[in-house]
Amino acid sequence: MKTIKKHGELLTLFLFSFAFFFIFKYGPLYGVIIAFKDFRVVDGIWGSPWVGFQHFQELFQNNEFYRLLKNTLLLNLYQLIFAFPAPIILALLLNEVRSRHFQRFIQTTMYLPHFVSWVIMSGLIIYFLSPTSGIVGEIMGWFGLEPVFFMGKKEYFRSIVVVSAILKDLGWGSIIYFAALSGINPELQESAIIDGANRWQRIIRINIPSIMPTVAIMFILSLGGFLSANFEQIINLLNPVTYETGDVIDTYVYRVGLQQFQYSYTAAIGLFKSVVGLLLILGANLTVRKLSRGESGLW
Amino acid sequence: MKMKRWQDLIAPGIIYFALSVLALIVVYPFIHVLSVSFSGRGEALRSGFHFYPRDFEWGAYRELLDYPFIWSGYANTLFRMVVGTALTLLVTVCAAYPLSRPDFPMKRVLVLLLLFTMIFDGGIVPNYLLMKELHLLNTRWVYVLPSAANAFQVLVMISFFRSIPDALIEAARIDGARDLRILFRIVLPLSIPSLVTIGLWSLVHHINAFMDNLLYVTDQSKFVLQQIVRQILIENRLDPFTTATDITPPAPESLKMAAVIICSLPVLVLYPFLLQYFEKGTMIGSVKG
Amino acid sequence: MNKRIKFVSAVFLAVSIAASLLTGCNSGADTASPGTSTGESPAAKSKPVEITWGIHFQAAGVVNDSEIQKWLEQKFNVKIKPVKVTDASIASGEVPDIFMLGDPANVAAYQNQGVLMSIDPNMLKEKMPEYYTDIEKKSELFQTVTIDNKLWAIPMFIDLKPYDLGMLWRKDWLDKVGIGKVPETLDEFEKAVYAFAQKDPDGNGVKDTYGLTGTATSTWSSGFYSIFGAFGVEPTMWMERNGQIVNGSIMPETKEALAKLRQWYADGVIDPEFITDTQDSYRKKLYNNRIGVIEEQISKGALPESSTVKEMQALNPDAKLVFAKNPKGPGGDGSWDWGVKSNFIVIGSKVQDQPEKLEKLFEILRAESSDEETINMTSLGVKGTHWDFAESGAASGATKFIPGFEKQEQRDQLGIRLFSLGNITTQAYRDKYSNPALNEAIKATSSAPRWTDALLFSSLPSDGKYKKDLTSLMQKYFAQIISGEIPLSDFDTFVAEWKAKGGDELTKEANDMYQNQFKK
Repeated sequence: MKTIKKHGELLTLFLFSFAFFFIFKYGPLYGVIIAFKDFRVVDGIWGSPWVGFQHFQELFQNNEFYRLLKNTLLLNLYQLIFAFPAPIILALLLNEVRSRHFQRFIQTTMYLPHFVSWVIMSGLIIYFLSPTSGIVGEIMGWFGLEPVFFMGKKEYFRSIVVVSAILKDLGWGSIIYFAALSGINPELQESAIIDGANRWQRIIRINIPSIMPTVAIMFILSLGGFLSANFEQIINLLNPVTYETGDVIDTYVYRVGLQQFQYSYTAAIGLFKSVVGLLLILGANLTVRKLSRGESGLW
Repeated sequence: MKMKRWQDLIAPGIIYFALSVLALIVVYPFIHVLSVSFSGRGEALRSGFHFYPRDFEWGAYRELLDYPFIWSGYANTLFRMVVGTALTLLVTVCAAYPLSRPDFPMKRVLVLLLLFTMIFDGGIVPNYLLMKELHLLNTRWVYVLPSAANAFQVLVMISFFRSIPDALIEAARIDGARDLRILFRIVLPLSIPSLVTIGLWSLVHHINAFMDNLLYVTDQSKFVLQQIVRQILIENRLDPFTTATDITPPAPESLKMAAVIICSLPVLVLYPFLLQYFEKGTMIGSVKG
Repeated sequence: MNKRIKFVSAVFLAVSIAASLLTGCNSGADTASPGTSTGESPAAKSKPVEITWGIHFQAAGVVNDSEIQKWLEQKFNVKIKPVKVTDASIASGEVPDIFMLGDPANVAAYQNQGVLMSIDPNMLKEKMPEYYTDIEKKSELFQTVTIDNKLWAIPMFIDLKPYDLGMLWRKDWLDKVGIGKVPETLDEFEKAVYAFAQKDPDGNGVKDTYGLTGTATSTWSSGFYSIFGAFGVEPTMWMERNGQIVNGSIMPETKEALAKLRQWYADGVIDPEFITDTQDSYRKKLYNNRIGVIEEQISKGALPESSTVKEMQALNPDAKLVFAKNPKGPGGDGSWDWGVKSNFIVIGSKVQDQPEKLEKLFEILRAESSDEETINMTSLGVKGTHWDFAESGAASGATKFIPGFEKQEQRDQLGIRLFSLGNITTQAYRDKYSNPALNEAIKATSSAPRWTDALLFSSLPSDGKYKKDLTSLMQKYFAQIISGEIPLSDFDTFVAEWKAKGGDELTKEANDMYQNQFKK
C-alpha cells in the first residue's frame, strides 16, 4: 500500500506502457510452443501433436548447421570489433569540429545512404568491386597491383559485408552518440581547458566517460542479435562461390521457409537464437556492471 | 605550449580532411540513386558512375505518382509516421521514466520482463490470431499499436534518463513537486536529444516498414507507400496473366530510384531541422534558461 | 460498332452497380443484361451463396466491392468476399473457398496441411465439359497434383509459352565481326562468341567485350541453360533415360557441357563476373556493349515492342538485335522449359460439406473457362472502355488496354484480374484472343516441346529436406569448375557428394513416382 501511494503516478505511467507490452508481446508468446510440436494448420497451435525436442535434434544433427553457426558467429564478431565502434569514433571526431556548418554538412551527408536499400547497394558494391570495370580495381592498378575479383572469392566475403555495413550505416548509427555527447555539461569542458588539458586528454577524460553508459547499453543490446545477421544485406551479396563463408543461420531459415508451413522447425531455430541471445545479454550485463562498479548496464 | 599549437592546428585539419573524404565515399550511393531517378530510361541503364543526371527529366516521378493507391499509400505512411511516432514516444517515456528512478519497486524484474519481449517472439500465427481477436486486421491501427511496444527503445531511454543528475530531481522533490511534474518540467526538457533520437528511429521504422502490411492488411486502400512501391517494382513472374500482348515493360531503373527518394522524403526534409537538437550544451542550457 | 459496345457496356455496368446497391432489385438488372447466363432463374431468386474468394495471387491486395465483383455477384447470384491468401492467413486457419496456387509443390504443401478439398475428376468432366476436353489431352498434369490417389487441384495448362527462352543476339556485332548468318549450331555459336570477345565488335579499340555471361544466382538451376541444352541436359531437372529417371545435375553430358564452358571461360569468352550476374544485370551488360548474346524470354526479346528490345534502343539506339533459336549441339537444342503446366486452382476443405456451394463454384469455373463474356470481364474488363483489340475493328487477335488502364494497378482498382483464374480458359478462347505475331515467334524460336522435367515439377516427399541444398551444392561446383578454380575432374567428386547428401534418396523417390504415375 505504501509503495502504491508513494509511487502512484509512476505506477500509473508504467502500467499504461506495460499494457502495450503485455498485449502485443506477451499475448502471442504462447506461440513458441510450436517449436516442440509438429504444427499442422488444420490442428491449430494447441491441437498439433507434441514432438519434444525433435526439431532441435534435427537442427543440431544437420551437417550444415555447424558451418552456418561458425559463419554467423565470425561475422557478428567482426561486426562487433569493427562496425560497432565506427559510429562512436565518428561522433567523437565530429564533436571536435568547431564549424557548425561543417558539422551539419557531415551529419547530413553521412546518414543519407541509410535510406538506400540493400538491393540497390549490393548492385553498386558488385559494380565497384568488379575486376574489369570497378573503381577499386582501377585504384589497385595505380599501385601496380593486379585487380582481384573480390565478389568471386570466398575469403573476402565477410570483409565486404562488414565494410559495406559500416559505410551504409555509419552516419545513421552515430546519431545516438551525438545525442549522448550533446548532454555533456560545457562547464566540464571549460574547466578542463583551464586545467590545461589538451584535446586528446579531454576526449579521453570527459567525452568518452560521458557517453560510456550509452555505449554500454548499445553494446549489451546488440549482443541479443548475435546469432542474427542483416538478412537483406547477406542475401543480396551472396553467390554460390561465397556460400561457404557467407551462408548464415538467417539465410538457412529463409531457404527452409521457402517450402511453406515449416513453422515448427523455424520456430525451433528462432528459439535457439533467442536463448543464446538472452544468455549473451545477461552475461554482458553482468560483466559491464562489474567493470563499471554498478554504474552502467541495464539495471 | 608548442605541443598544444600543433594539436590545435594539425589535428582539426586532419579531421576535416578525413571526414570530407569519408563523407564523399559514404554519400555516393545516395547521389547515384538521386541522379538516376532524374535520368531518362536509356541513361538510367548506362553502367558507370552517376554523379548528376545527364539528361535531366522528371519522368520517373511523374510515372510513379501516376500509379493508383500511391497517394493513399503516402497518406497511410504519414499517418503511421505521425501517430506511430507520437505513440512510441509516449509509451517509451512512460515505461522508461519510472524504471529509471532508483527507488521504483521491482525494477530489475520489470526491466528483465521488457528485455524478454525484445528477444522472444511468438511467431507469425499467434500474432495474426491476436490481431484478429483485437479486430485490428485491415485497419491502420495495426501499423501503430504493436510497434509502440519497443523494449530496445525503452532500455536506451532508461539509460538516458539515468544520466540526468539526481541532484536536479531531488531538489525539485524537496520543493514539493510530484513525479509527473518533475517529468514534464525537468526530465523531458533535459532529454530532448534522446527523444529526438528515438523519434527519428521510430520515424524511419515507420517509413521502411511493410511486414505488418504484408501480414495484417490486404485492403489496397489501406496499404502503406512502401508496400505499394514494392508491388510496382516486383516484375510479374512466370505466368503471364492472359494471352494478351500486354508486354508491360519492366519498371525503368529510374522509377526504382525515384521510389527510394519519394519514400524517404519526409525524413529527408525533417532531418536538417532536427539536427539543431544535437548541438553541444542544448541540454544543460535549456534548464538554466 | 465500337461506340455502341462501349455505350451498352457502360449502361450495363451502371445498371449492375445500381442493382447491387439496391439489394433485392435483382430482377430488373437481369433483363437489362443480355449476357447473363440463361436457365438459372430459380437459383437467382434463392438466397445468394457466400463465397470466400482468394484473389489472383499476383494481385497485391483486395479492392472491396469493385465493379467486377458486383458483376460476378449479380451474374451468379452469389455474395463474394474477396481475400488475399497469405501464408499467415492460411496458417491461422482462414482458408478461402477457392484460390490459386503456383506449382505442384505448393499444392502438396497445402494438401499436407489438410486445408484442401479433394476434387472428383468425374465432376470436372461433368461440370466443365469444354475445359475437360482440352485438359484431357494434357492428362499427365493431373498426376502432378495427385497425392494418395486423390486429385487435389484443377491443373491449368499452357501450350505456347511466351516465357520460353531463346537467344537474343547483337546483330550489328555479328555483322561487324563478319558473321552473316545468325548462329544456329553450337559450333557457329562458339565462333560468334569467340569473335565477340576477340575482334573488338564495339570498335573502341579496347579489349573490353565478352561473348556471353551467365547467372550463377538463379534460384532453381545453373544458368547457361541453352549450352547445357545443346548437350541434351538441364541441371536440376529430372530426365528420363531408357526408362530410368536421372537428375540433370549429375549426367555425363553435363560434364561435357561444363568442359565446353570451362574452355570458353579460360579463353576469355565468358564474362568472369557471371558468378555475380543476375538476369537483370546481364541484360544491362548487353545494353552496355559488354556482351553480345543473352538468353531471353521470347516475349521480352522477339518482337519489336518487346521490353528488352525497347530498353536496348533507349540506351543504344544504333544497336540491332535479332532473336534466334537455342544453338543445336551434340544433344540437340533446348533450354530451361517449364512444360505445359500453368497454375493450379484449389478448393478449400470446408466446401466439402457444402454441396450447394461446390455446385456454384463449378458454375463459375465453367464460365471462367468457356464463357467469353465472363473471361473478358474478369481478365480484361469491358471492351471499348478498358480494352480493345490491338488492330482497330478486329474481332480477334491481340488485345491492348486503353490508356488509363494500361497499368495492372489501375485495373486492380476496378477488380479486373482479382477474380480471373488465368489459364483455365479453353483452347478456343485462347486461339481467338492471342497475339498471332507472338505465337509465330514462339513457334519459330522455342525449343519446346523438346523436354521438360520428367515429373513435370511434381514435389517429391524428401524435396523439402534436400533439394535446396543440392541446388546450392551444384551451383557452387559448377561456378568453380567453369571459372577454372577446381579441375574438371572434380565433377566426379561433386557427383559423389550430391548422391551422398540426399541425391540418391531423391533419385529413388523420383523413379518410384515415375513408375507409379507417369510411365506411359
